[in-house]
Amino acid sequence: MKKTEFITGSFIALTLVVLLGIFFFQALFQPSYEGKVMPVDNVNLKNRVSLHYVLKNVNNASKYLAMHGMRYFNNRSSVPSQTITYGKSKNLEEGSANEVTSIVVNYRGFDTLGEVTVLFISIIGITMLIGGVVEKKWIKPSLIVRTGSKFLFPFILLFGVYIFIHGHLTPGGGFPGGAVIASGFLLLLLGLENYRFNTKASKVIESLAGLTFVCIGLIGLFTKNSFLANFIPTGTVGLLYSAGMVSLIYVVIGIKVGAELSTGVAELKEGNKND
Amino acid sequence: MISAIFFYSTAFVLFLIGLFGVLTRKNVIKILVSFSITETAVNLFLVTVGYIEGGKAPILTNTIGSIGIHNLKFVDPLPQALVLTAIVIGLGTTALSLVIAIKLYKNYGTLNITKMDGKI
Amino acid sequence: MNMNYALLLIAVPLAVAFLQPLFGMISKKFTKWVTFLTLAFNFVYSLCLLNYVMTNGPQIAVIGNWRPPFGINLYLSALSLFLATIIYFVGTVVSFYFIGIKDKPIDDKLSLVMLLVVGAAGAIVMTGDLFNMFVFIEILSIGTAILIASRDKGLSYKGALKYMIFGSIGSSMLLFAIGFTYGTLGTLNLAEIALRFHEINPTLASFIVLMFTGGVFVEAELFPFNMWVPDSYEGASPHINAILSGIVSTAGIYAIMRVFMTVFGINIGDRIVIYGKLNFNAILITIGVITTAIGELSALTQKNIKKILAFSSMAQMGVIAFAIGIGNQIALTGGIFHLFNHAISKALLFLVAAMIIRNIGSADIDDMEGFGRHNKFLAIIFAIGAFGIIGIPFFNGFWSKMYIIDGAVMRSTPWTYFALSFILGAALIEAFYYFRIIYKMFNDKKITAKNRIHPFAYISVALLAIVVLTVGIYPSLFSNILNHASAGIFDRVQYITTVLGMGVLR
Repeated sequence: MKKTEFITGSFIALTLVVLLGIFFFQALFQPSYEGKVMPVDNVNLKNRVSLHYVLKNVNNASKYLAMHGMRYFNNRSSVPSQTITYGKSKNLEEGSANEVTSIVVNYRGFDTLGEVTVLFISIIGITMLIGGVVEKKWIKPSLIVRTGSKFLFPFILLFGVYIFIHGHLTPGGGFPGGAVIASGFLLLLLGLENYRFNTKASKVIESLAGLTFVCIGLIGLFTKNSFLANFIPTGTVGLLYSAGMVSLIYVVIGIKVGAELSTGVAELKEGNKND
Repeated sequence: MISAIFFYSTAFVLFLIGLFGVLTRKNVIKILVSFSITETAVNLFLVTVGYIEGGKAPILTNTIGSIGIHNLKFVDPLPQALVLTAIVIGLGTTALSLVIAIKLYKNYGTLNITKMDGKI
Repeated sequence: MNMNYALLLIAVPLAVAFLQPLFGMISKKFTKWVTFLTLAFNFVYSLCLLNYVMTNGPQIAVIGNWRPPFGINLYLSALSLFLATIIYFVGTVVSFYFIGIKDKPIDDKLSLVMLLVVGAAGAIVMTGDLFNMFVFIEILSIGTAILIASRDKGLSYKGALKYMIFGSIGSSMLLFAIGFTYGTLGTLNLAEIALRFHEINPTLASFIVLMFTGGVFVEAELFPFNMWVPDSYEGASPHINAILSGIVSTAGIYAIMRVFMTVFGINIGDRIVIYGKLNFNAILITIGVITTAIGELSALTQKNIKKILAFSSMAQMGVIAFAIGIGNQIALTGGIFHLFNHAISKALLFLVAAMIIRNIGSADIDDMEGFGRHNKFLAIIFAIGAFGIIGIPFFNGFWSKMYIIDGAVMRSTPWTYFALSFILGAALIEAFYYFRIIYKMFNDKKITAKNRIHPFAYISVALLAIVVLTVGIYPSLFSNILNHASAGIFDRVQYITTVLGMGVLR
């Protein structure tokens, strides 16, 4: 009886899944004379809004759109732009050499605020729900692990800080940097017997970092009349002191994510005792 | 060069595998594993949307030198930014679901969702 | 007035939420007050903005000084601010109620999550960007799952997990829709998608619509994605259900209305562009009818008051989906009006249910026999809320259902009449089980109260009851706003030109 139920359920699920798959491939391989289809092998950046993010000419594009109307959408590439040279171009609207960072933090910075909030709320949820489930099954770490974790910890911390400070120049940024920092604390939690993670301090750091992010946005609102607007000079592309508030926000995010994930890891190990 | 079709197909087939797993598995942990598969599938799909043949990672460096309208060498950075957000969201969702799974085990003594029915 | 300051509606709850752990170190009670005051500020501010928008037409708020379609923007119209006002109002009342209930050690975190959920719901109804909407839907769904699980019972974890399962699958589908839209049109801005959605190949367009459905139907409690409703509502604390029913589903319905009708333009002048010859309006009507039928019939068989109210909430969502599916302005006005009525009345019912459950220590309606003799005030307030939902004449639900019926009759296709008969039949069933509860309450039986109820709880339900009665007696109170709101859904040109500037149609 149970067996047939399971088979029927699987069969229905399989049918559903196969139908969805057929629909997907049908949607992907439509003839283009009936309307726009998803480009598969001939993707061109010039048909997409991210062209302006790459060329850092969003303000020109807004002016062009206001002037030319509908015609803009068919030739995005005729928006005036300049060639950006590494280490030379100055005072662009946005000075980050890493284009992904410039989108994540500047052009679509509001999404990142939401993203930080998602992480924040889920860690809060974990600390709230985990209370009282922790069982101590502790295997005493060996001498090598103890010494090694003590030795490695500052370097891991340094590497994490390096990643988020250079977020606007190289791959990485606040989230990976924070994750690396949290992995350092994880190493301490696993490797040292008597290590107690200071949850209270990390909570304070986390809260203040989150507040700083919102405050940076609010400074933009009060000085430049728009939330999360850049209020710091953008400098030369490729230098450490460039990209205006992008680097600032990534430092804040790095600290916040590091503190948050460390808290989460520590709560999973030690349980919710500090409250 | 592998065609992008391959990646699209892989992504969607992965999504369907994950969906099938969520629909049919009885063990909470297996359901959560299926979730992670769907999340990975979506991320793969989004990255593929931004893939441009011959494009480099969208970071201006000393070796790339300069970029202009006639000199576009990058893949589309916007889907990568979306994936960055989606990964973090996936992390949050998975972590929270796992904690809920732990609590379910504490409350019911089993991870099988059919055996939980009828108990409070 | 600089509309960019509307961002404070989202930034202030976030900033306060980030600070809540610090406040929690001072006092748990303090965090509850902070949540209440923040939401009250949001309510007052959104009311001011609504007033401004009503006189000056829809506005946008730009983020980071990047004009749309290049940056993220908020779209502030009569509809979005009206719904935001409802959301903040319900949030304020529930958080006020929350101050009164007994302190638990997790209260600081709970009030934080509550604040974020309400803030995210407000952001969903205001945002003008597809991916931004996804991010806030995720905050909403994670927060809601935490709220459901916070009761710390086996059932509540089960409910939370079910909600997470549906929410995660839905959000994966939503991301697929976003990927396809971006890959085809190269944009994420809702106004630009609205401008150019007709360029997309019809089959691909219907696939996008299908995938988008998964993401928002979970929140809106509509048919294939609403299996989480009974378990989650039963598992959660009743005052959390007020948030689930009054806030989360409101945000979900908004996403359906805005994205399906304004952006995808499924409804304009009955021009159906969906796959083959399938009529999307008929599909939405069918979904509405199925949801209503399932909801009302299941509610009829239940004994647990939380489950009854949950199924009733599902059924109301079906009625609203039906109103959207009819797709003329009168029905849509009714739909938005009903959304308002449902949010207020259902929040009222859930809060009263919470007080009753707390007072007598049971959620079974058989144990509530004689409660009306024991506590007349609460029973009468419950009756007011129930009458509002059923649509007894001179209560608020009556007027909104009249609008919907009027619109359905005006559309006058056989399928609409058929569906309408179902909806009306469902309303009769609904009346039956609500009257059963009320009848039981006023039965003559002695019951013993267990726990005292805090005066704040009385104040909050009395406030909601006053709103229900006022709207019922004076239904034209919001008619101006409602007309603007439903007109704004249909007016794609206004949406596009407001966001992208007048020059875009040149």
